[in-house]
Amino acid sequence: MNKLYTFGCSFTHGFHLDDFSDGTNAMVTYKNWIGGILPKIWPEIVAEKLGLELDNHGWPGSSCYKIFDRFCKQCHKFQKDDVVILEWTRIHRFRLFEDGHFPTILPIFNPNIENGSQPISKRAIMEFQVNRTEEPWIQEIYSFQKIIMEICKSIGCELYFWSADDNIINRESLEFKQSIKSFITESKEDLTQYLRINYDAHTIYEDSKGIVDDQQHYGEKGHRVMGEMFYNDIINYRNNK
Amino acid sequence: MKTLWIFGDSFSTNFDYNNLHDNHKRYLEYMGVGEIKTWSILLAEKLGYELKNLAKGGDSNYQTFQTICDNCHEIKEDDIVIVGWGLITKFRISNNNQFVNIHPQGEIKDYGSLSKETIQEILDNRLKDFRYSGKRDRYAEEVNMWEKVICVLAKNKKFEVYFWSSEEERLINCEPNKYKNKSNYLYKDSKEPLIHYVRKKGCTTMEDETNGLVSDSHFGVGGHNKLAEIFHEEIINEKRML
Repeated sequence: MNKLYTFGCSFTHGFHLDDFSDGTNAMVTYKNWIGGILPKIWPEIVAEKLGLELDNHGWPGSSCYKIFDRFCKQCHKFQKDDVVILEWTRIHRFRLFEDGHFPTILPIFNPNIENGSQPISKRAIMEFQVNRTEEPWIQEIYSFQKIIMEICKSIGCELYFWSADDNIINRESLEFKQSIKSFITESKEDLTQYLRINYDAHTIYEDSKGIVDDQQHYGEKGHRVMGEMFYNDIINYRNNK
Repeated sequence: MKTLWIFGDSFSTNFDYNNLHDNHKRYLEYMGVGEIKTWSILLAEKLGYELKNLAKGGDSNYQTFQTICDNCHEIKEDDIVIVGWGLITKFRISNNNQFVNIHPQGEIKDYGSLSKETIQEILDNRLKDFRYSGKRDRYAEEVNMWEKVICVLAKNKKFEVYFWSSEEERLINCEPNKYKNKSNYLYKDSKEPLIHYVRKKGCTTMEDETNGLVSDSHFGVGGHNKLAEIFHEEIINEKRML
């Protein structure tokens, strides 16, 4: 059976139920609120519709570098006719060495940055993240895309991209988007937000009518909308070959 | 015609005759020649391959990998690719919407809104002495990941790829033999960075060849000749083993 490989950050990973140190993992609260059985996430929905076995390598808090790392680690397993969907996350995120680990440095405005130590000063993080808003950092991601596309082409797998960053892919021309087979080409912003605003892809917060405070990650309806729309795009790309 | 692709930094690049480095200028004057054949030119000749050398002096490994990504669609079956990694500590920043490679021994200064203090903090983070810390060297692992993806591409597109490290102790040479033997590394038997190892095998630097007049640890004519021989022998041996 062929596989659907998915790569990305928490938006691809789905519901992450580890206990947080401060005990406020909204996804655990959502699970309890919804009655204990979590809904299908978009990679599961797409895999099911395509009749593929899912191999999901999305991971919460990933930077684009970690996402690319995971692709590098897994790509030797790809087979002809597998499908690969790769999500790029926010461009601000980067990595630094810390005590044998390679943690993602989250945007300075993220409340998590206040928790625990950082490998460099907050001022340095802020300066570097401002630097990362410049164009070359986007071009670096597009260079990764080139080798990813070449790998998939050489194996014979289908490859699709999407982005949870306003600038990566989403601000590019339709021609560019179609050339890399990106999803929902009309979006000009972070795709998760675009689907939320334009297609009622509800977040956990909206799903739970404000009871569970996670205004970024999708709940049942968000995943359903995203899964269906991604599936439709795959079919459209296949038909327009 | 098959192509020999070269990616890397100053230890892989050809002399830039349109914009000669001062040391190169002085070296050519001392030797009384207008140009020299670097190891990549000589190796391409020995192999009978066309040469595409995309290495650039001062490039960080990030830049080298990006150049590979940008050109990988041009690499054809039976081509040979040689990737020369440089110092892990080198990294990039954007300055006026262009990447600038930051070298640990270079001048640390402000770049627009990026202060020299921030650059120093990032350099310090990359410079930590991993060998004795007992921690995993995540920056070396990052390069290992790139090697993995390049190897998968090489296998699928049926080209040969070889890696080497010029002056970085944290890459390749420090790896256990078991790891090195299954990877496409040149001069696997070395336990030290190439510039030290090949000097013992007779690769002379510009400094050696000018009796210290040109203080530069990059190869001179003799060094380039010897390195081309070493790499040629390694590649031919690898081919025999395939």
